[in-house]
Amino acid sequence: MEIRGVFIEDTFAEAFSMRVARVIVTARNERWLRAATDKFTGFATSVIACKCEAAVEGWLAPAETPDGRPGAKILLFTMASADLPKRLVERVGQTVLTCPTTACFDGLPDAPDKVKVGGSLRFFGDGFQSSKMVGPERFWRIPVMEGEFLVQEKFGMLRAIAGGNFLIGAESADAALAAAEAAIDVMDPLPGVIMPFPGGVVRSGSKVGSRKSKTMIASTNDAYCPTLRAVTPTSLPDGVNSVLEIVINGLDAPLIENAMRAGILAACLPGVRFITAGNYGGKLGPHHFQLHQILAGVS
Amino acid sequence: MSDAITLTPKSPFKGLISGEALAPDRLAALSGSQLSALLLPVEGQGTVALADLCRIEGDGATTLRCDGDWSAVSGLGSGMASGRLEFTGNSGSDLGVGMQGGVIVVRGDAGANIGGAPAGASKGMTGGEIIVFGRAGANAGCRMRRGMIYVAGAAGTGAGQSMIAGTLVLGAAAGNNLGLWNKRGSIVALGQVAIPVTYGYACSYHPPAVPLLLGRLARLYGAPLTPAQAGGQYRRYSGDLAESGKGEILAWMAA
Repeated sequence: MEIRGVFIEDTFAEAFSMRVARVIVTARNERWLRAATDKFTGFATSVIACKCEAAVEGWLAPAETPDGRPGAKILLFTMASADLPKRLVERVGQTVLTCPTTACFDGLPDAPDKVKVGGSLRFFGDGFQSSKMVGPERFWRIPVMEGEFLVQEKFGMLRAIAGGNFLIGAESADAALAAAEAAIDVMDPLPGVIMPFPGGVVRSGSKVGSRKSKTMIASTNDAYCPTLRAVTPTSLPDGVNSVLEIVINGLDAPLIENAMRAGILAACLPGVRFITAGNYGGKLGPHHFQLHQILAGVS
Repeated sequence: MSDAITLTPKSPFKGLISGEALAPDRLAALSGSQLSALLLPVEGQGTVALADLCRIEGDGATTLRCDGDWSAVSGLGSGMASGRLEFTGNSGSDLGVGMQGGVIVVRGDAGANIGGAPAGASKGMTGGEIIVFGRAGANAGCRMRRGMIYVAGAAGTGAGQSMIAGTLVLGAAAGNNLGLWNKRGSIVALGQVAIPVTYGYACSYHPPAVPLLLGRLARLYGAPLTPAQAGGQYRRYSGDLAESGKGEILAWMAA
């Protein structure tokens, strides 16, 4: 398959089942909203080393938030359900509770499974905290030096999918970066998905395990490293001098497919030679996103 | 089955009526004939069948609508656990005492002790919401344990007295003895109130829970609340310090 002269490999992205929470953060203004979300989503690119994956899913106008202030939706993914409340309590406690003017709410109110967040953080109040029921929902009011931090007691948890991906191979690093930026520009506004790596883009795609160390669970994907073309079994066609990857986590498969389709189409720019996807032979992840199926009917 | 059971007085009520039997969740289980035969104690008349007092429309619904003036009927919605009780005009005293859930909306005025405790009981309402668009009599929310009461008009003396917890939102002025012996309840005062001497001033700030509370009242019930009230500054008073001091009066600072 070709799109605007870019070869689309007949392969699939292999993705994994994970657990997700949607965190709504609000603040007095955009300055403090971004201060909180930047810290919350920092060091949350991959569960391999960060224990979770998180990014801003979208920005909310005051009319869309529970307290009528500017807000953000953050998606946070973990491998196990038991890990989700731990990561939420750590991150809300260290990056939202600490940030001036913020409040924190559940963004998945209809999820059947709930995990305790405010119900754990309340103990920071040292007995001075109080709860407030608003309709059926309990919130915790934790006194802080600035005034008061408001956080919802429980957050919804859903099964979700992480690891949708595609790789962009280009003639130059500039062309690969331009294509990746174009892809992220159209994917960022899409609901229900995040691209958790810096700027949404990964330059260091990995393979499972290591040639040199038994303790490393992942190491550089040498088959796609252009500097190793002469010394390793390469997957790079002639003329490809740079590869970038975009990893997509989402609430469900159709949302990821939609984001992959939009991103790939945007990435088919001059200088791009091929689009492929990362997988492990289909043996590790239960979710397979076939590039040709996703792009069927697209010219 | 209909959308609502509607009760309309056949003529203005004569004498006080005990309306404890009239709660939407309990009436929903009754047939039309059972509704008609429901006996209510009437001052000086013994018991009178509901059908002799009111015109009854509908059955099997969890919404109970009371048209006309019900200020002579006490105890409507007592102990209700679910459903919706609506008044197009005034309601009487002891409205929603011991209420556990559901919603009561009064378009007119309400009597004394709304959401309070039944006689001899240690606690008042434990859940649900009471919305009064007019005025409320004395002791609104007295001994309430949970839930929310909103009074758009003036509230009588002793509002929030002996609150155990829960939320009382007062849209206008309130009488004396506001929140005396309050344990952990929150009183949001949007009008002129006298802070009891047993409350201590804490600070002026933006209480982050207030936008949620007022936003819910405006969104679900059309309460006449303004963005300036939802997002405004409040003076926080802790009290009653004669109790645990964990309760509060949040007094809006109008610009």
